[in-house]
Amino acid sequence: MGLAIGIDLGTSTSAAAVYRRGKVESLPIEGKKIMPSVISCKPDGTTLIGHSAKSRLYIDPLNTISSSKRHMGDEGKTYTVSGRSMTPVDAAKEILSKIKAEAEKYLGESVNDAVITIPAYFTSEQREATKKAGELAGFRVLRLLSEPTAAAIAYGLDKEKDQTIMVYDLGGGTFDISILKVEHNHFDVVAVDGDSLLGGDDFDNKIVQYILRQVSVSQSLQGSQEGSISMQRLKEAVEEAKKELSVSDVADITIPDIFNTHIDEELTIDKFNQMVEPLLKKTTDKMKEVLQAAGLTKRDISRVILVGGSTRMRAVREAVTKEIKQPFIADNVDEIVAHGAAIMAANLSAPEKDMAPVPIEVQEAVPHSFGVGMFLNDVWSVKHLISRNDKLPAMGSTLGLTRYPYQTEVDLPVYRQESIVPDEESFLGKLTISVRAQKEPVALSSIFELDENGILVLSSSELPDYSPIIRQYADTGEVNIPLLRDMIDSKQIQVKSVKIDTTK
Amino acid sequence: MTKEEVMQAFEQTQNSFKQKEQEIASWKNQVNLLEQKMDGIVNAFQAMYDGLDLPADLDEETENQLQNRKDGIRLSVKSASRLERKWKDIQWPEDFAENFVTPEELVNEIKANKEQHSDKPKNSEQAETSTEQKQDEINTEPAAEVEKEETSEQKNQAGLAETERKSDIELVQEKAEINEKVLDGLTDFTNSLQKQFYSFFEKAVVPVIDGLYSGKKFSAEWISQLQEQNNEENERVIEWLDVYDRFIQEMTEFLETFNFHLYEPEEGALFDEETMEPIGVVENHEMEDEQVAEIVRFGLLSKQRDKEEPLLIRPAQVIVVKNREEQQEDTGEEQPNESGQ
Repeated sequence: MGLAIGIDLGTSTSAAAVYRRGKVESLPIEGKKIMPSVISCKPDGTTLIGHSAKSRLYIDPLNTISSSKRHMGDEGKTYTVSGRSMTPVDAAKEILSKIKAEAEKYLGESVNDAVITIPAYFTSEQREATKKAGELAGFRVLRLLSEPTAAAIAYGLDKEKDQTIMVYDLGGGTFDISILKVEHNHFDVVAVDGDSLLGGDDFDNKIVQYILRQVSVSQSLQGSQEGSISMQRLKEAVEEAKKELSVSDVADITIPDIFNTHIDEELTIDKFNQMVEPLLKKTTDKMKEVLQAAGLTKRDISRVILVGGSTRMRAVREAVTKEIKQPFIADNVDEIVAHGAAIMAANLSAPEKDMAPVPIEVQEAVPHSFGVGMFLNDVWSVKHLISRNDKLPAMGSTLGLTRYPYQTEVDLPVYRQESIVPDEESFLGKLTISVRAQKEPVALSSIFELDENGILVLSSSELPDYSPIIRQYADTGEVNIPLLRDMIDSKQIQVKSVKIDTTK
Repeated sequence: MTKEEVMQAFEQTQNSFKQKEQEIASWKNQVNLLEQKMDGIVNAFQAMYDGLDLPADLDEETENQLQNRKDGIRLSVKSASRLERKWKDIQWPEDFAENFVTPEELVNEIKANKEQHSDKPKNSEQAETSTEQKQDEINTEPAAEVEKEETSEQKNQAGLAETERKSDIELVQEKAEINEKVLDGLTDFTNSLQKQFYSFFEKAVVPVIDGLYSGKKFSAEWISQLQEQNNEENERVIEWLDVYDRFIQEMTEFLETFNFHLYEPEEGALFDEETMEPIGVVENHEMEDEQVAEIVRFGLLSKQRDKEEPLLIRPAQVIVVKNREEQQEDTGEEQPNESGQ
């Protein structure tokens, strides 16, 4: 069996790592540890992936695809590049194929197995699409692993006693916050939240705007080509200054001949902190919200770990310390997710358990609530059978009655939404079941089963009148699932199932 | 692993260690040289700036413009003066040799291990004599020690001998693994040092040239205007503006000391996504699509030992020709394939 690798398939950048000889190492892709998740197709038919593709983003945006991860699982999304049609799955496949080829070149052997990370909030169709992309790239996808879980594994938190971990992930363009419970090497994502429009770039932009105000650069100059070149220089200088402020109390931004002037500004850590305070508050507010969603307080959090290049900012560490507690931060926060995936990959591919780096089990949370459409108190509503943050695999059940005498069919529509008011945009599919026509209402059961890969199966069956399960439900409001299973297994009732076409 | 493979692995660590020692010694020289040269460039820049008097008797507008040029150069001098602050001190791995197991140490370990397991003191003495005789044969010594045990054991001691022999090979393997870990640590160190070195030149040194280059480009436009008005005052101004070349030359020599070279593609060259970063597009019907219209910023190359092709540290920033009509004909699309579209 060849080596199994871990892949962080990111929105802006991707990374890969391998666990061998007792340690994790990042796999260089074209000599660099991070590869832009960009694909570009040239008119001559050449497909470029990574840094060279990113270079073409500016001059040939129409034939270049970036941030396609945001559209994973959306079957309606198609890119047309140099006359070639590509779906987000095709784009991910190209990125993964590039990683596979580079990994094989570096390791000197074929690489067939991989663990690919995904955001904890990915829906079932997004998970399926990612897995499909991995398979099309020639990988056996050992597991799709949530990014916060991968980070926690990389931080070695599986080796410690049972604990509750908060993962604070601030990347270039997105912010994610997750809470995991670790018990006996068993990972359980209990809550996730975030802001897809907040990242390190917003922090840089605060400084850029401050400098532009200091040197009074007009809007017209900013918009000109010369202004655009100057802006590029300023952004690079600002990024360096931000890095310097992570280790120093003061940073200088000194740029001659820019915007028809010279910039010579000293930026103190206090001034920087003051500028970015509103952005940090957005992240700390999300921390509070996710704690509330998990039914926890900050005292319940054993560890906070930081992920993503933007967490190198001292202001982030200070804000997290103030809000929860002193966080853990690794040197390689950009590659930490890939490292965790690599450990998991080695764990899953080890021929013997003793050879695995750490025995890990992962349980993940349901990212969104799922419900069935039915009349509740005569109002057409969504009854949630699986709730957001339930553990995967998840299951839920309810009973209902036909609405009219001599009704012969019942439609059971499935929705993925938090609200109980049905939203047609959240409709995923339906099961239509025939029922015996009788004057009295006919009882039916509905069962939702959602597996680790996010595949939802809806099963329903007509129930015999006066079945004990109906009485129990009337008394307790709970479906006796073991009894229902017995009835199915003993063929007392006949079940009709549907695998929901979640790609709609 | 067979005994031969184990011995070979151990010996390989010795060769690799020597290479690593040389590599670290070379890095120490490089870093010492950098620290000296940094001091030199800071002093040279300051001296050049201090001697940078404006020509006398200029009209007010020209004097203001030239003073503005001098202010820009002052910032480049200021950036250069901060180079020492931006270079992080290196924590050299001082105790790595202590953890590394040499062939002599391995022989002693094997001997000690044998003495510990053997109930025959006479054999131990023989082994000691044998080791002393072979102390100059660095790489073959441990192999000989293991070999000697294999051939000298008597049949009626087979059980014990087997245990000892296995233990010795295991010992060699254990020491080879220790050495590999030391080597891994040293590789991590040199990789990180190389990264710091490249990053320092890319993010701290070359931006000083970028500032001077921008000033030079700005001045070039001014010079062409001045040349049109042929008079003596302008000649003095043009001569003064040569100062950019002197500063750039000084910094370029500093780069070359460390095998770094500026990469400046030619205007009109075809855009190369491997070595160039586009930061603008222009229409220019005199040129073909994807020809380089302007170099905005130099790239940076590092010439590597034993390699013909230099390593690209930073791509050159360029403005590329993109003529609108052809763009529309080619694609028929209006929106880029970026997020949110």
